[in-house]
Amino acid sequence: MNNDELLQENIERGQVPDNLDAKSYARVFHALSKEPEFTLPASFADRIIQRSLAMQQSKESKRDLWWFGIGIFLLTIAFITAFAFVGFKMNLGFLRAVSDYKWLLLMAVILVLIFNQVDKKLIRGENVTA
Amino acid sequence: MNDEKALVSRVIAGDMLAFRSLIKTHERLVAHMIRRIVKSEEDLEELCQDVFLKVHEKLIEFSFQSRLSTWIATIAYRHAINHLRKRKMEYSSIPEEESFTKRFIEHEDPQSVLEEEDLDGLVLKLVDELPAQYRTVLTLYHVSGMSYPEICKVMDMPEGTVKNYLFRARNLLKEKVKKHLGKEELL
Repeated sequence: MNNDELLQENIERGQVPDNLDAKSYARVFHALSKEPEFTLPASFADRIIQRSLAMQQSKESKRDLWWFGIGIFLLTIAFITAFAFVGFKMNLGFLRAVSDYKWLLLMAVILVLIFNQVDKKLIRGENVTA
Repeated sequence: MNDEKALVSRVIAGDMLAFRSLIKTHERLVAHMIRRIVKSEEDLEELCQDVFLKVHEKLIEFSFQSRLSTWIATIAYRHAINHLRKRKMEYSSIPEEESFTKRFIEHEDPQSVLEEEDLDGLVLKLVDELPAQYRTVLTLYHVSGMSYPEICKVMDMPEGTVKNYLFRARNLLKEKVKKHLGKEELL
C-alpha cells in the first residue's frame, strides 16, 4: 500500500495527519461529499406521470386499432368461406345492379377511407398541435 | 426492503401516487448520475424523465436481488452512456494515465481560480474535467453513498477497477488542491 492509499484510508476514518498532502485530501473529501448544485423542477414527477399516462393511452389506442384490423380480417374470411359454402352468386334483384357497378362502389369505399385518413392526419392533427 | 416491495407492487398495479413517491425518493440519485456523466444542463431533465419512464416500464422485471436504488442507478448509468454514444461523445476510453495526469495537474484556468473563492466549488469544477468513469465512481461513492459491490453492479466493472478509479480520481484532485493550497501558504 503506497502513501496516498494509506492517506485516503486515514481520511475516510477521520484521521488527518498534519501535512499538506493530508490537508489537501481532507479538502477534496469534504468537497466531494457536497451535493452538486442543481435541482430538478418541482413539477418533475408530475411531468413524468403525464408522459407515462400519454404513453399508456397511445399504447391502448394502438392495441384497439390492431383488434379492429383483426376483426375486419376475420369477418372477410368468414364472408368468403360462407360464400364459398353456399355457392353465392350476385344474380338476385338489386345485387345484380350492384354487381354492374362493383368497381365504382369499391372506388367510393377507397375514397372515403382516404378522405378519413387525410382528415385525421392533416386537419384534426393540425388542430391538436395548434 | 418490505417497504420497497410494497411500493413496487403498488407501482406495478398502476398506482400513480406510488410511482410519484418512487420518483420523489430517487430523483436526486438519478439527477446526480446523469449530470455527472452527461454534463450538459439542457438535456438533463429529459434524460432523467426517460430514466423513470424506463424504470416504470421495467419494474415488473425487478427481482429484489439488490436495493431498488442500485437497480435504478444502473438504468440511469446505462441510459446516460447510451446518450453519450448516440451523440458520439467519448466515454469508453480512459485517457493515457501519464499524459492525462500531467495535463490535468498543470492546466490552470486563471479565470476559474479567480472566480472560485471557496475551494469546494473549485474541486467540484475540477471533477467535471475528469473522465466520465471517474466522475461516476466519485458520485456513486461520495454523493450517493453506495458501497463498492453496489458500484460494481451499477457500472458492471470488477471491484479492483472501481477502487482504482476512485483512488486515481481522488489523487488527481488532491494534486490540484495541493498546488492551490501551496500557493495560499506562500502568500
